[in-house]
Amino acid sequence: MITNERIHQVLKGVLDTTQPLESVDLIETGIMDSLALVSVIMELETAFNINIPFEKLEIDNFRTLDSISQFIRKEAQVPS
Amino acid sequence: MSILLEKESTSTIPKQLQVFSTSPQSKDVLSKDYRNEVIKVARWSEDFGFTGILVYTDNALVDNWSVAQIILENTKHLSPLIAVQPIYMHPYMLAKRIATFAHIYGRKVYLNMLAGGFSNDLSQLGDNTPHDDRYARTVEYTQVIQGLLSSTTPFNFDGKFYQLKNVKMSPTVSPELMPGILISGSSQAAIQAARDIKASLIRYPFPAEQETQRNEDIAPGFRVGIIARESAEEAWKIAHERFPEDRRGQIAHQLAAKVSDSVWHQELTEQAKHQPKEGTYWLGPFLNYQTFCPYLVGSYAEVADEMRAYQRKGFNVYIVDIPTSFEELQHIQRVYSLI
Repeated sequence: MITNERIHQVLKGVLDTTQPLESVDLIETGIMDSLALVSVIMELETAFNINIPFEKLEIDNFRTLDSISQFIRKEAQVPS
Repeated sequence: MSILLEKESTSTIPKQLQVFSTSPQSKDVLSKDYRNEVIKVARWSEDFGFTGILVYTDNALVDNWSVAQIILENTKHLSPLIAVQPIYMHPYMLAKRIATFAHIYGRKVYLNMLAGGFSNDLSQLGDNTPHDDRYARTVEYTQVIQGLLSSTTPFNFDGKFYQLKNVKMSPTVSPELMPGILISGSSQAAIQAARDIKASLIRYPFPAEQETQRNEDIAPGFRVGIIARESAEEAWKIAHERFPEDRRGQIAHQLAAKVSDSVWHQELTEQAKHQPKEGTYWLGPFLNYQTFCPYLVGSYAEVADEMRAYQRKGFNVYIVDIPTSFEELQHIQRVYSLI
């Protein structure tokens, strides 16, 4: 089941921060740098058993909790 | 590795070539081991007759001028090739460091002038200068350094990015210790910059057969890795063991390709799509984000053939990737002995 809570858990497990992750641009705020982004993608693939095609790896899909959730749902073909 | 082996090295590098190795990066080595690792690779490089050794710079690495100083203090002839990111310090301070090294060690250094870098590194420091302007800034930066170090009278500079008035550099630097200048890049802006500052233009090469001598007024060079053995099979086995396919690296490469404004990154990514599997030219490490440079993999004779072909196209400056061992350099030396 792909929920914002599970994605939040994945992010919390990877990102070394105490800042709230909701409603912020994770990249713009520096919470998620490029190395962390790679780790987040790897963890999301494992957690939701998906393989994101390279051509769909767009930074904008990973900026916020909501955009990640939306993107992962689409990749896993789960209706939102 | 034995001490006996280390004594067996003698340079086979042809005199007309300038060959640099690459120093280990602090992010790849434990803190407690890093200094010794730098010294070890620098001494190997000196033993093999290399001109110098590249010391990288970016936001994630230790200060490369400190690393250069370690190299100078622990070798006799080797010249650090110090990567220079203009936004890190004022060119006066950089010229002062060169003058200081010349004064203390009596050794020439080389500068690898950068205009790009990781876009995050630049934006974190508030630098959003467009691609071509960054090259224009690097040109001015280099001209300021050259002017400060060579001027016998107070130096003045009135540029778009830097202005200096009546500056005198002390200590002075004798002409033979003036820094050698290289600049990295593939774009038209990079080519023009190399021309403006009379630098060797360093880039990542295509296969030799695709290379043309495009700019005869510029000394071209490239950065490459070499894995050579008696047989091609053995070399490829080692290559795949050292740089295995890696999903994490492939994701990092794809993300980098999407945000990079570097022409070379786009060119190599495009090259990889059409690169045939046969031959010595290999972009596996680049595609898996393990190193940026292409690798030449094959038997000693095959790799030497490829290197000769590059030489025929005018490439005489080479920066080889970080050597993994003394033995690896011996294999590379076998290649040079055939050129």
